[in-house]
Amino acid sequence: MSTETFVVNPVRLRLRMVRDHAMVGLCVLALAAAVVPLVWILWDVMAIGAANLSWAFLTELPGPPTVGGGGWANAIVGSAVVVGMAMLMGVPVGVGAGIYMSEYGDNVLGRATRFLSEVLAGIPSIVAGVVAYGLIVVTMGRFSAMSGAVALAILFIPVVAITTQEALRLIPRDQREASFALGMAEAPTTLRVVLPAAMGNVLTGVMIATARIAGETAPLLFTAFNNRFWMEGLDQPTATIPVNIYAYAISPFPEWHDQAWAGAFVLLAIVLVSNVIARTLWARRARFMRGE
Amino acid sequence: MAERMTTRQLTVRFGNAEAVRRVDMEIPPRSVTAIIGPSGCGKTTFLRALNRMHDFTPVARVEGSVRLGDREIYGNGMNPVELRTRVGMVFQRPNPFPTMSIRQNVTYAPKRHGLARGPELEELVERVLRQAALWDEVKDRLDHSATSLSGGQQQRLCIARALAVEPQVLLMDEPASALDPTATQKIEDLIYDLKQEYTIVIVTHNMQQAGRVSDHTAFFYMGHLIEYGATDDLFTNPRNERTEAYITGRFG
Repeated sequence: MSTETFVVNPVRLRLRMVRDHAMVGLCVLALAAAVVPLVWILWDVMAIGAANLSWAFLTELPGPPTVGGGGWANAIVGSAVVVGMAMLMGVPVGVGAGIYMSEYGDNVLGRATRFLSEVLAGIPSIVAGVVAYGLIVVTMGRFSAMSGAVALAILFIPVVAITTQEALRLIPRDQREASFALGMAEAPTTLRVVLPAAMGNVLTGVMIATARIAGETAPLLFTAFNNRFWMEGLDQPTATIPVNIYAYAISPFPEWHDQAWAGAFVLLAIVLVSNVIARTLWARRARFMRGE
Repeated sequence: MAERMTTRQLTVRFGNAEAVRRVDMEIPPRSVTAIIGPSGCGKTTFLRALNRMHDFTPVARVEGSVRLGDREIYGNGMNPVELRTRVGMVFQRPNPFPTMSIRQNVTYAPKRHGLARGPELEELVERVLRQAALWDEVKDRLDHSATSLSGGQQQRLCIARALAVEPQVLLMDEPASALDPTATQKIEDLIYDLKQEYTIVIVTHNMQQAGRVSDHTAFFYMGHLIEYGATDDLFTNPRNERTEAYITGRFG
């Protein structure tokens, strides 16, 4: 071994530094390309939407076209009911499937479920609408809030199942072994040790999936359909925010265009606020887990 | 309370690889038995065969016999879940449950096994935390997160947690290897106290530790039990040349 100092070629070093800076520059550009349109959309929806928002918009039924006035109270309630029911069906099934795939899925059934979840998570949302139409709307002979909820649940379940599975897999094996070594069977180990430790990421998956279905329009067009009045029951058609946005935005009436902006703002606000609430509730638990 | 464990021709395979080969060993109650040997010699694999932790490794195959007292643990009469309430385990890295408080870490298993409830459960928490020499440090913050404890405290909590299901045997897999010398000292003192009531098997790569805490020492090499005897004899007067080479630091 020689003891000479390693000599750095100054030209090559210079070149490497330039390449390094160029690479960081490209990454910043890519970031800008991703963020600028997003901020733009958010800004437009917030500015134009908030300008058209009113108390009447939140509390009243739609008014007649060209006159202006009235509101989307029925659509806001309709969206809450349809998305709420989809979650009621989707959270247990999605989380349950995720638990199966992660904890018990080292077999043919598990592999099949994983494959199907990934396929289902990628299908066009209108296909989910067609399925719910065929299963429920045709059978019942009418559009209904329930069929809309089923269509959204079909989209919701695979996303939650996959994120739950991934969240559980991040929990180290030694946590499971600690529980087994205390003479605990698999079920309590999964429910009391693994799932609580993974809850933060499971929650994130549920929030992302909820945000996605809250904005879905296509699957609701021929399931929940629409309604100018209050929904009369879960087996009756209902207005929802995204379908209303679609209907109002393509209408020829300028005052309806304004209301479509306001509707977009309300939808965005509901998603953001529920996200913030869930995160805040979770943050205390997360601090506890970090030992703070 | 403490029970004897006996293995006969115990072999553990992972696929085609034999990790433990035909081991006959008798582990006496109310004493500490240390298992030493170079990395990969099968000592942890042997330990995990004693409470059927290999059940969770699909490629693992266990052959031969392991008895707890006079009950065959791989036989039909023994449910592995029940077995693990009798044969507890402490792991290399402290692994308290991060979502649970200090108290909940202790009560988690006994509560569900129906061992205690209400005020009895409170007494149990205090008793096992005292046994694990942790009570004075945590008695004012039992509802704090288990992760707020130091590494050494966490490991003593894991020992307390294992004691809470009232086991007969306690298996320890390098319980102090992730800890600093002060915390290690505390764990060793603890092991010394616990052997009055339990059968303790400890895997260690630290021969000084084996010498300090154990009554009997087993030397494993390439999956074979090479030598097994009273710790003092084995360290001062090894009968096998590989044992001698290992304990004098010539390999491993």
